[in-house]
Order: sequence, then structure tokens, then C-alpha cells
Amino acid sequence: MRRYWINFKGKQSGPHSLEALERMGVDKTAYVWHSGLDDWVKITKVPELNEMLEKLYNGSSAASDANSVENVAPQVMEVSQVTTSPPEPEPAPELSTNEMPNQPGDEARELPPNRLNQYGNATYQVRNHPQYAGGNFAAAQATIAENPECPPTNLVWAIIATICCCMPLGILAIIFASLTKKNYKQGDYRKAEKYSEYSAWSIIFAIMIGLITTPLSCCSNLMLLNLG
Amino acid sequence: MSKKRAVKIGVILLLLIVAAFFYFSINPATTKYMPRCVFLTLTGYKCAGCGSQRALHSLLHGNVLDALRYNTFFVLAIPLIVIYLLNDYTKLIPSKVDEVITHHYTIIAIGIIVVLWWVFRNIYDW
Repeated sequence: MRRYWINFKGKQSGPHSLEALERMGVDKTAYVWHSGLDDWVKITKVPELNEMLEKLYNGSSAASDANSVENVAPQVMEVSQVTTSPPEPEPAPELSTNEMPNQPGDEARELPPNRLNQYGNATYQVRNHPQYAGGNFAAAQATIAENPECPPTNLVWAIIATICCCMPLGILAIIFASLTKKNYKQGDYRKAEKYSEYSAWSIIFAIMIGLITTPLSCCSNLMLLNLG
Repeated sequence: MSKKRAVKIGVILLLLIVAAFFYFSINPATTKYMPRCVFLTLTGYKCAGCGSQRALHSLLHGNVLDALRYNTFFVLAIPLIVIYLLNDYTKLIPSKVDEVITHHYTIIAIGIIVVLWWVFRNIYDW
């Protein structure tokens, strides 16, 4: 499924699923970016999101001004160009905001233009963040670390699988759930996603083993009963 | 709430009610047809979930002490599971509580408790 980064009311976050955006209650002033787009666009420019907005606001004219607005760089860009230099040492020149967006020839980007290095360089993101360019560095870092959604840990299902289906695989799933959360907290979102998948698969296998072995065990009970 | 979600919740509730009725009316301790733990059958050692069916039957009949005797961990895990389900699928749990119960130390602690319980019940034949 497609994941979206969003810039809404001056706050940037992501990646979100379509449902998550719906729950956030975004309106048509938001900007979005997803993999495959060159730059941030108005939310109404993305067909499926526009459709969602129209559904959300009862078919009100969400798309009415979509045509009048060209692809505009989001607020992040504007603000960070205006703000004075932060108290921290300047970021390396090649990381400067003005040079980041719209570089030719980087197709298939996985991250939005002004947050190119989501997985490594938190410092860079924070310095260019509209709300924090200029100060309160630690708070900004904490806020941004919370922004992407944590992939599901599947903990409940791991516990249920441990009790009901297959204990060893259930325990494995609990361990993977913990690793998901740990890596998410440390900002390694890719690893978190990976462990989230592992825990899901452990649970699926546990349930399958449970489904296969339970009738067998019933059969063996009956056979023992007949023999005895 | 969307229609899809309502249907989902309805199906889950129906299954739960059917399962509860099933385990209320059948006593796994005396019925030979009930599935037995495969781990126990194969190794002779109890797993962490052994006795859950009997515990559930006792719980549904209101015998909490019996349920605790059959599988303490299962009885204690029920409220835990309810809290986690509410946390995952509703917004009823405050985010401060969420932070604690989904912390990775909490999760790993649950894993350790499961293993300890498993070892303990085999040593002391609980």
C-alpha cells in the first residue's frame, strides 16, 4: 500500500497509510508527498486523497481550488529559507535546504524531498524543521522521533498464540514484538518494519501449526480411548 | 464507524460468544474428545498454555480458584489481553499508559514471565 508524508498546519510527519490520514482529520490545506512524486503537492492533487477528502467533508468542493494552485513547495521550504541561522554549527553545505529539493535524476526516492535522510540524519531534519529552526534542539528531536507511526508489534496476537497455539513460536513472536518497538524507538524504522513482519509471520505459523495439530491430537485421543 | 468495521466486530463477538458457550457446556477435564496439548503429548512436559481449556471452563462457571490452579498464567493474561486489544483497536487507553505497556522492556518482560512460568510449572508440577 502507498505511504504518504504529510505537511499539515506546519507540521510534517509520515509515513502514514491512507486510513491514518483519514483519522488525522486533514483538510485540503495539507501538502503531501509519496514515493514517485518529484516534490510536495497539494493534497487535492493526489486523486485517492482528494477522493478521501470529498468523502470526509460530504462531497464539499475539496477539489475546487485544486486547479488554481500549481505544485507549490510546502511551508517547510518557505519558512526554513526565511529563518535565521540556528545556534548550532551550520549543516554541511551539501545538506543545505535550498539545494535539496528538485534535484534532477533522483527517481524512486523513498523519502520526501526535504527529509531525504530520514533514517540517519535526524540533526539535519530538525535544523530545517519550520518550528524548530533556531532553537530547542532536544525537544525538536524528540518530537520528530515520534512522528512516523510505529509498525504493529502484534503483541496481543503473540500472547494469544503462545497460550492457544504453539508456545515456542509464540515466544519468538513476543521477542520480535519487543525488537520492533526497540528499533522504532531508536529511530531505525526499516528494522522495526522488518521485525514487525517477522512477528506477524511467527504468529501466522503458530496459528497454522495449531490448526493442523489440534485435530490430530483429537484423533490420537480417540485412538487411545479405543485401544484402552 | 464504517460498515466494514462494524461487521468485523460483529463477527468477532459472535465467535467469542459461540466459543464461550462451547467451553461453558463442555468440561475439558472429563471429556476425552477435547484436543490435548501437542507439546505435552510429544514431550511429556507441560507448555505455558496447558490447562487453558480447563481454566476457561472453570472461569465460565465462576470457579476462579480452580481456574488459577489449572493455569495461573492464562487467567492473569486475560485482563492483559483485553487491555492490549483495547489499546490496539480503540482509543480508550490514555497514551501515557500506552507508552508503558508497549515499551519494549515491558514486552520482553512478558516474554521472560512466560518462559519462567513454563519452567516453574514443570519443576513444581503446577
